[in-house]
Amino acid sequence: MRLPRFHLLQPDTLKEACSMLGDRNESVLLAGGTALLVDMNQRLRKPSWVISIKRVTGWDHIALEQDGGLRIGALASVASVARSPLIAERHPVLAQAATSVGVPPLRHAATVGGNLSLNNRCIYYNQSELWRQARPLCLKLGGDVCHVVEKGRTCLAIHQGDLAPALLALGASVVVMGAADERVLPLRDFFTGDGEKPNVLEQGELLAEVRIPPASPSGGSAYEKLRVREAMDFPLASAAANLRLDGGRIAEASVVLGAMAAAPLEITAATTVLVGQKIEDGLDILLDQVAQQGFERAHPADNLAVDAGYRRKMTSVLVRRALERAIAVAQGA
Amino acid sequence: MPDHKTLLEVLRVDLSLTGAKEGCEDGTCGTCTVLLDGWPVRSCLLLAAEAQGHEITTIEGLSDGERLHPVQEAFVNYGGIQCGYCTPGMILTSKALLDRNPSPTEAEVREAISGNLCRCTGYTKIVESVLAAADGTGSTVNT
Repeated sequence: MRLPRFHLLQPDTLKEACSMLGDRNESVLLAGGTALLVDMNQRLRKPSWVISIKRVTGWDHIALEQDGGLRIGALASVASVARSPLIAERHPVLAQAATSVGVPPLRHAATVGGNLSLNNRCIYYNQSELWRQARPLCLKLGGDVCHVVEKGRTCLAIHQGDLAPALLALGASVVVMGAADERVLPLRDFFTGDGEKPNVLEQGELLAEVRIPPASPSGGSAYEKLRVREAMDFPLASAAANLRLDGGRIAEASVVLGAMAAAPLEITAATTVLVGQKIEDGLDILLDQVAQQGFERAHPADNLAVDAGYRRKMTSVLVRRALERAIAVAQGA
Repeated sequence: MPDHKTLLEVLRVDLSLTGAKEGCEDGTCGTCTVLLDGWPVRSCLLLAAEAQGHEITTIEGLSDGERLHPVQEAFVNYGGIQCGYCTPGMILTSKALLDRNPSPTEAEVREAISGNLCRCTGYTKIVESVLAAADGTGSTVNT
């Protein structure tokens, strides 16, 4: 399979990359290439210019701040996050999410920035040009039909990245860089909930860094992922849980669902039901309540390889497991 | 060299190093695996231009004339090869594992090769081959 023809630029700095992207409408950013080149093979993207940032240095850090927060460069490989002792110790949910991405060679190439800005996916979209030629253009391709829901007017393509739910559960924020400026925004504001345009990046902008607030000494977190195989696959459903304890009571709780919607889904019941509770047996019923809200809030469409009804039911199981494991970590801490 | 050529294309077409294969076009099968600075990579997802300046090891680079590399020998002796299509990628990935971790557990071997698909062997003999290469028993026939 040949890639479509393009011109390659290989800047040495992120700012240069931003300028190059901003000056050329038909340009795309190439980091790890594990998503972009596949899209190009399938002729989903046919850019005239490819701006590779593989030569850029200084943006692959996993750095501990004085206040205990973490800064992760957008060019840090998913593998480096997966094997970082800092992250494993402080934020197991992120280490687990990173470890669950793909397979070792893909994790080695894939970047944190790339995984967060992954395009949304659908079994009717992520197909070869030949396959797609048999059907009219869907909404995400600029057409006017949805192949998932008859007469659908909203694109239902799903965010299937693994890092986003984990980072959202950790309260992360991101640095968006443009040629002339930079801005910091909470990660939840990075996602649009729009199947066609999943995040707020405009032409000429890229993700530069992820920032995670300090972990608390008595906390716990965990990531659960549903997939058919034990490696490789994108999640069919996932749940990230993060808890902070204070004197034996839950002081903060977040649960975020992945692969259920066009953006990761935050389950607010985690906060309303769990905060203030002591870690003891009675928690069973409360965990079920949070899991139940996960089920109720999740409305997956049948646009992945496995039945939506099953994925939805499994969501509550994953929420339950992630919370139990997060509590176990917190109790062990 | 045209910008749009992948490393896989350059290896197979321009350099006639056909050990690396094209299997899936989407990074899932691992038959295109080569080592870049010692790390297994998907050569089908790497632009040739981006590989410049790095050390590339293909399967052709493992044997020394007629002498097989210990990992290759173990695969032959332990039945780790059937049709041979996954083999170059499998062997390179295994070699890279053993270079970093000379005594892997079975679980570590399975995780390391999780990115290399095999439709013939069911992986059992492949795992045995890698473990034999690791503990030095790979040079004895054991099928």
